[in-house]
Amino acid sequence: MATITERTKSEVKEIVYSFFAEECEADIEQINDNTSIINDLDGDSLMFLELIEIFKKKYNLDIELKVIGKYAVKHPVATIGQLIEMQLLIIEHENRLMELDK
Amino acid sequence: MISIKKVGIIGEGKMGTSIFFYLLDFQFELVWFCSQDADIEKLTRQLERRIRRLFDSGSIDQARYDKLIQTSITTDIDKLQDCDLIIEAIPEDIAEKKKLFHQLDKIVNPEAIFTSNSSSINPSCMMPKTAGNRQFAGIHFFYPVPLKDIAEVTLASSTTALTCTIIESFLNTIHRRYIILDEQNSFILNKIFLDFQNEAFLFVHNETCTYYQMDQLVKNNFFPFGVFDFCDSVGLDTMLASIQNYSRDYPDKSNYALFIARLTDLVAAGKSGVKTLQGFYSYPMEDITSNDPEHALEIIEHLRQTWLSSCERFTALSSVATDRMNHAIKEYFGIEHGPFEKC
Repeated sequence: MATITERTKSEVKEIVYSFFAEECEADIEQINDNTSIINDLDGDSLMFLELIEIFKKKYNLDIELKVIGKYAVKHPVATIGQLIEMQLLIIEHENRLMELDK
Repeated sequence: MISIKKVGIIGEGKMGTSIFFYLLDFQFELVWFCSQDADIEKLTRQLERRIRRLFDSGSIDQARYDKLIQTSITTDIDKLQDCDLIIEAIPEDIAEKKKLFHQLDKIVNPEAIFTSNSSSINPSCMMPKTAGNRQFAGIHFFYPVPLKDIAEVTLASSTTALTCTIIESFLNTIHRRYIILDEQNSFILNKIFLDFQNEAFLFVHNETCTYYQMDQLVKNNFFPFGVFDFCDSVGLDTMLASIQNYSRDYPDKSNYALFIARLTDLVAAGKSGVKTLQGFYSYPMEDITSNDPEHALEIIEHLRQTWLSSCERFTALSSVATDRMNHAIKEYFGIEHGPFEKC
């Protein structure tokens, strides 16, 4: 189980903001934690999956997409802030993510 | 036996997009044929970014990058002519699908296999009368494709064993497990869920509980999603078309009449779910506080029996091996234990 430092939080936030700014062709200055991924950015779950792949590589995570899929259905993400929180939980708990619900 | 080298994906909706981007990870040449309304330039930029990121991260080499960057996203149907496999994923409109396949049949290599990702229309209903020996089948993927390791293959009576083998080989190549169904027993997973959805709706209709209370009961006792938030997410127009298609030949179709009537009213009022910001719920959803309804245990038990009985009935009808169905049901519902295993 990884420890989430302030540096990790800041890295994750930066990657998520940059990713959505590029992928949704939006101005990064207009994105904040309350930005709705679907309504404001026209984003979708494919982007979410690609971000997971980026974080898997960056932090060498042992996490199956299936586990994230199950967690995401139970804890739907609507905003950029919620997505960052979920990414941090994934980095922290990896394949033990579902144990958070027990 | 022909091997699938070039795949044409048709439709830029949720499913078409999900299938296209999933297939990028495999060694096929792809053509993505989109409607005239699609923003081809935007989709192309999205694709180029994705390919560049795959290359930058070391997931693909230069040769694969050079090949993928040639991928065609187009509104020109002629670009599909030398495909070996077509996967159609346009909206659930039988007339539009028929028209499309009629057009494709005149253009595309006669050896190519035509498949539809339809969630409710059998392949034989889409075949043009002039199709001759053209091979048709259904390959019903589930959304999002990378996360749902299951596909339903529906064979028309004219689908040959060779075509079935080619489709199986294709699905094995793209790492999707599958169940093979005939047209009488097609879309079995949605049909299992429909029985459950219908019973859940009747409880709400009879004022035993609210939509929200029912969804909470379902999430706490059955699946990771509720019945009505699932419908809103899929789109009530799509749900309505599907249920009408499924129940058309059911001897007990009147059982679904109230659910169909409610969906019809909502769709007619422009409330098609999340995409229109209104459906069974309004979006964005406000926080709702709610207790369990009275008789919650009886409701849960009734729904459990409905679900188990549907799983058993449809599995028996389909003749799919129990372990395959068990896996398919687990994937579809996102649950740890299927109906045919002891926990």
